[in-house]
Amino acid sequence: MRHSGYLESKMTHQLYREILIDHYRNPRHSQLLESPTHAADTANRSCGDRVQVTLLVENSKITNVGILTEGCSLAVAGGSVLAERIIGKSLEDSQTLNEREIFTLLGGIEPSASRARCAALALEAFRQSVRSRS
Amino acid sequence: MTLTSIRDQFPILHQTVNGHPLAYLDNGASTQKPRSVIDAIVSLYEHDYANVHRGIHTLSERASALYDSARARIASFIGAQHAHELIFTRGTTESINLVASSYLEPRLSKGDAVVTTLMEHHSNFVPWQQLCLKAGAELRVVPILDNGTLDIQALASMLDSRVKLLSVVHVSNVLGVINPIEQIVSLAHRYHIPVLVDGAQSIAHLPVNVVELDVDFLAFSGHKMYGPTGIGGLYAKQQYLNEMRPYQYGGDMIAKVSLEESTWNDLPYKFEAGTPNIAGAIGLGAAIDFLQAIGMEQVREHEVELLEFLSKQLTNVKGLSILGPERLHQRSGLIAFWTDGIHPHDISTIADERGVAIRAGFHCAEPLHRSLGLMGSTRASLGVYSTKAEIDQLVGALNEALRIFGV
Repeated sequence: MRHSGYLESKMTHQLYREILIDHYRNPRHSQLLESPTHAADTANRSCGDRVQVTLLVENSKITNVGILTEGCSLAVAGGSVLAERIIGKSLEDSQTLNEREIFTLLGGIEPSASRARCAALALEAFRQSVRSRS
Repeated sequence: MTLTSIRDQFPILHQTVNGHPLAYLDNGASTQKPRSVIDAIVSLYEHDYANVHRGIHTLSERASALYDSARARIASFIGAQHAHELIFTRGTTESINLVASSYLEPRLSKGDAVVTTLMEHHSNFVPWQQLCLKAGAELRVVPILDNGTLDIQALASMLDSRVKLLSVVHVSNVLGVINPIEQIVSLAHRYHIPVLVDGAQSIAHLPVNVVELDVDFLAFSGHKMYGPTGIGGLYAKQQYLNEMRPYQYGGDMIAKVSLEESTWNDLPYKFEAGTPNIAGAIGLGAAIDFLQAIGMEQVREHEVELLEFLSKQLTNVKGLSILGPERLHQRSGLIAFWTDGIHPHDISTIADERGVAIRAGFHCAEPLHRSLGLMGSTRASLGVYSTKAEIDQLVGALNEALRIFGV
């Protein structure tokens, strides 16, 4: 090597942790609800990933969740940890959720900017579903 | 020229990424730049820069001479008979949009048709789709065969006197297939249908001669042929350029302006309003010199050798499916592939962790992927500086991806 890159890109060796792969292969609460009170269907235009979110909200509490993701491991696992995180919580509590918390739930990953969008796609869909009652 | 001496001309290749030697296999998206291209741009700005064709002063004359010489060398590289048949544009996309707006739009009426194919990049699909929607014309899309080649019989059956243009890619950026342009052109010309060829993926990988192919329009990008970004070209036969209306209006493209009317400048300036991308054109001229110093036959030979190796190595990776024709002589130097259970983005990220740059997704060819039932693919694309060691590095990363995902 003559020299290493001027800006050595961030090491991402720890991205694919067991917890992420587990959520990808066995996504939790991935059955869409038949009669949701809230729903959204969001796609990432740049890659075609798609997340459908269905919620059952009773007395301002999320009593059931269905999140179905078609996409990469980060998108699917991001939807899965989100579903676990919001089920049984109040709508208000869940609205304070941010990307960073999703990364933490995925094992403390530090994805690149382009992959961060994947991991946060379900969160975006969830926020949309909260805004639009079905 | 040896592979080592070619690689030595590319400063960017000699670095580590994520602790591994960089293996740059994303040449279909954009190629890296040799020292001579970088130097040509730096030297212009350090010694010779001024606006072109305007100033009566030394720097303007020097910059104009460099700019005009670049055009002449690029035109000659693609075998054009006249330098003024080469219009500088921002790239393939703008070249195609120029033809859509200046040639086709005024000639396309309700009931007419445009022929294109299922394997097009969005840049050679959406302009025709939108023009047809606007004019009430029919967009005829040539399908592909199961073997990953264009259905030439279907193409022939779509041609008639209603077709006002046929636009086809030379090399598919997903299937890697080299389309039989000569045959397609001769079919189209029977009905006097002009043919536009999208040369974005062919011009830096195969010998391309516009006269031999008898194409009416050829669009290409500088940044995919070792030149700078923001510069590209449209070759068009002189007769078409003369008949076409200007693309944009402004300085340099006019002959005479009065309060009531304007007349247009000669070719090629009629299509180049405003101060052009001077440094880009001069940089692209240097890229042409670089390619010609190697020779396009040698470029092709090197890429065929590596393509054979890449194909063989990918075939050995468990569960990988390769898109495009099996017969390698029908292919240019790229291979897109997919595997069940691992998303292309994940493969690409795992490859990047090992210093390998590849592309993942639709590659701007969504209709093609959807027709194949795929939500994307992963693509390795070769260039003049690609090595077998880089391919081995890619294969190592693919096997690692299979291990991580337990596929």
